[in-house]
Amino acid sequence: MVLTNSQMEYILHLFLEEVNTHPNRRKGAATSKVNAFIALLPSKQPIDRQMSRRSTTAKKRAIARNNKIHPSKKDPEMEELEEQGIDVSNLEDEEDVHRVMNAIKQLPCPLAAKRRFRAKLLQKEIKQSSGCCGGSNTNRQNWRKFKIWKKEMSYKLEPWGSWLKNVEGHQGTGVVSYFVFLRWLFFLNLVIFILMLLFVTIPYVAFSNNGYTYVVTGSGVSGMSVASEQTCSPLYQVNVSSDAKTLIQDFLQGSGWMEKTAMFYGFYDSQDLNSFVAGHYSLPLAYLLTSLVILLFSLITMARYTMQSFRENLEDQNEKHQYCNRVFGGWDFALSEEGTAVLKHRSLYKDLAGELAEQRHHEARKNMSSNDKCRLYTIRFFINFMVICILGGSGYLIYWVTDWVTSFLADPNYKTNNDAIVVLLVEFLPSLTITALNGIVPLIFGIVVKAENYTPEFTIKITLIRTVFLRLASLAVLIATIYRIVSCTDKETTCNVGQNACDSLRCWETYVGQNFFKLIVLDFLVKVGVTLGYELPRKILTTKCDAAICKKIGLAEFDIPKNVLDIVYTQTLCWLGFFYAPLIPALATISMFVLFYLKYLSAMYNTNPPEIPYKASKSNNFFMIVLMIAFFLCCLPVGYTMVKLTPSYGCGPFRIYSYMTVCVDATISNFPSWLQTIIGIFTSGSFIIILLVLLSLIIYYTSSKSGARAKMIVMLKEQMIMEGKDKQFLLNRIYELTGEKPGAKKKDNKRPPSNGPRNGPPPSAVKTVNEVHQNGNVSKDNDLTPVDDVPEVVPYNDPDDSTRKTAETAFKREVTPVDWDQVPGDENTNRTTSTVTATNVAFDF
Amino acid sequence: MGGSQSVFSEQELSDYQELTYFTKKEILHVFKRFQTLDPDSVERDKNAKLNRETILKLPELQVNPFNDRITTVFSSAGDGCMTFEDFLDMMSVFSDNAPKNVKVEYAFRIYDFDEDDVISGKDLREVINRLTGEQALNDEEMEQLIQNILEEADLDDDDSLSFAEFEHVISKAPDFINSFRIRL
Repeated sequence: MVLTNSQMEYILHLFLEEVNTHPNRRKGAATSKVNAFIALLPSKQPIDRQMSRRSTTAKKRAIARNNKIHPSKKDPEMEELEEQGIDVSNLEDEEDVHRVMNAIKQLPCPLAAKRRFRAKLLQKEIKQSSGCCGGSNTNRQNWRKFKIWKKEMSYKLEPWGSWLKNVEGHQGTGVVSYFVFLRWLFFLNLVIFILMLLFVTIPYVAFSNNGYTYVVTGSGVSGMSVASEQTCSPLYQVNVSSDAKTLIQDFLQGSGWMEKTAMFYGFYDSQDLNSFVAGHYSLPLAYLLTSLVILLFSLITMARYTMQSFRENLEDQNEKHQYCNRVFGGWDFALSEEGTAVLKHRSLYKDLAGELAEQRHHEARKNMSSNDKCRLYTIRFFINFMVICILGGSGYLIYWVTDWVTSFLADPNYKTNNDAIVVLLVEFLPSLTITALNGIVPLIFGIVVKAENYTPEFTIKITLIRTVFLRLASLAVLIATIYRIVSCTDKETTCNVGQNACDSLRCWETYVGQNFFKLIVLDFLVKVGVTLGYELPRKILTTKCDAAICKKIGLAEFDIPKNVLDIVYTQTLCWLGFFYAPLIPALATISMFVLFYLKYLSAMYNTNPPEIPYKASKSNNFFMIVLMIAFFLCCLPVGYTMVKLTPSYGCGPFRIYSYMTVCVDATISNFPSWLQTIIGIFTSGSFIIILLVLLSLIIYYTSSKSGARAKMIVMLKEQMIMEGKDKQFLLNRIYELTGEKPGAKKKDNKRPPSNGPRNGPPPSAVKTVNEVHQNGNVSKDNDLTPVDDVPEVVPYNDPDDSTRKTAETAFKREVTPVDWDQVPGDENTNRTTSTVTATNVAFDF
Repeated sequence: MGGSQSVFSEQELSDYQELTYFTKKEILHVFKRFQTLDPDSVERDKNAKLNRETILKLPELQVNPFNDRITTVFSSAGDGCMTFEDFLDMMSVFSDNAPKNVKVEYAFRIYDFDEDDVISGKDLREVINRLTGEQALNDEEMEQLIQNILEEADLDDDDSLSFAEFEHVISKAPDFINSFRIRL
């Protein structure tokens, strides 16, 4: 029941021809024929038939052919299915049945009808499968059963599913996307933690004290010195006090007794565990490889997560459909609470009205006088300058504080000279500074951006970008400061520990780990504090106090971008820290876990949904990109540590190596020589160059493929527009002919008439073909003639045979396969009938 | 769960599983939700036909501005009354697993208020009015918004959106798939 435009045009042509050659025919008959014809147009089809538009013409032709070849009568169900555009002609194997089953599933009709179709189909299947061998069928069935089982399990195992539903009902999908992201990060951290625990901590803790033999592999490799390890290891001492206050203090800052736990790098040893079940377990190698695997795993999971949403939005880079998106995707069908629904209405109204006002002002802004423009750009310039200054200032502050604290702590007597609280404060000063800056500076950004007069959407974006920049920059400064301390050149020769002006860090990796440890702890405490100390009182204030000012304060808003950035920041700390403190992922996991409940609390009780409608689809990508950037920034220092920095001689799994990667060389040196040669080839420069060339070729290939597809999209869209125009043109011709007033149905069109006549269907034409078929005949009042009766209603007594035959073939069900591509599809209606032979007509109504 | 397990035979459940985007477990869950709407009549007859008011007791539908359209579209009798199968059908379409084209199909029906198979300016006006709720856009804004939408989506300039145009524009509206669902 699908007509392409060229088909329609052709029919119309036949029709016009006919009308012109029969001037004496009743006008009414012509009109009724037009109406019947209009009913055939694609846009006038009932919706369930429009599904069939998706099926290809090739398939249709196959069906048509099939009908011709096997005219045997069919089940009504099967016919109905075919009418829906589902090909049920050749159901030879399980796969076909499955495909049809899926198609039935997608049919937009009530369940009862679907069940009827399915029952029929199953009957058929039994008939056919009896002759077939059952082996592959049962396999496939099992596979399908397994898939269903998997789905069922994942439904059962979906953690926090009902919690998410509650949040969704209360706050809408935007906030839920935050929770889904949080859950995803929780699992990512859990996996990282388990990997570290399984391959590093447990082997070491379980076997190190159990009579393992002291073995150093690959002793022939350069860059190993067991001697310095033996001198330096005893020098690395940690003062452990049993004072209760100090115990807690140590716990918070990862010093003292904490420093000697499995949490930190310094705890691990460089020896191979020989009593391990497999016989030989090289801890340094395991440490290095596990770290690499974790980074790789993070990258892959992130890429997968991003690609899922990215693929959907890739073609949607031009913001051309924002109004449709707002209106058709505006209501959140998951909302289930009265109050939230009211808020949603309000936020939708604000969004729409704001956007419209923006659009109106946009024109005004375009015509702004050069004076105003000049002023605006000056303001923007100054504000950007100011933002850079603030960022630079923050960076310097962090640098200065870290530097000062380190020099303060370098004094060996600082603990005795100062109060414990002061010491704790000083210890936490860098972390405090960073956290405070993260809290305060975005507020300043939020204020100054208003003066810049950007569009609302861009305002959010630029504030976010600045905030992200602040967060990453402050971490970068911290890393740089630590690096400066660690790579201080004035070192004693035996143990490679700083002297004189340089800080004497016996185990600098642990020192780095401690810094991140403190940041994570503080970050977590601040989050708990904000939820309980800021949102909760505000809630209590609003509900308990009746004064106008309290009401005005109201509930806090669930600020999604800020919250997402917060957890991205925690994740960054985890990635930065896990190499120096292997159990930091555990901390991050716990932090995410607690945060889920905390945020649930604040989402359900303490906050209102965000006022600006949050575009989950767009921002998800943005946050993942931020996470990716953060990830690559994290890889830099970790990778640099692995390859370029000399590990401490007195602690850690790499203490006997001059670089961490030497342990890999040491392991390889124990391999048989042929394996060494192969590894040598694969790691050689020439091989890597070949690999790079190959990769760039693949990238080139895929990018040109995507370019071609983009072109295809543009072409298809143009074609779609052209077909729409064709349709309109044809309709206009019909109206011209019948003298019916086009667009009689439209009341609210304000477009200039130059747009051409509307083709709002005349009321009579609304009757669908489906109904026509069902009724057999149509009530007289709307003057619509059933299609199959057309030749009878319009008697043909003209001798012009070719015209009549063609018309008859056109309107009857006699169908011959035809390639419509051969019918010229241009808008040239001067084509005469004789150019297309009568037998060429084919469509299946 | 044990109670509702016995309501359906194994055969019925697997039938439903084949025909919807739910697993058996989820179907039972849907039934539970259906049951809470009117426990008495569902207790008596699991295929009881609940009228529109009862169906609208579902919290998600209660606050939904298009709830009358939803019940009409999914009611197999077309009168807004729903049996369990209709209800299951509805939840299946709104579920996460339902493909986009199914959702688009029903969204089109829901937004097509006068059921003339095109979303006309009048339909759009109704959609927008229902979206904004109490606070309504003024006439000028409304006209501007409708023109904007038609400009974006109405490819053939006939001042209304046919299904093809609607489908096309929805494929470019990334929020649709996120918002057009009801979590079980």
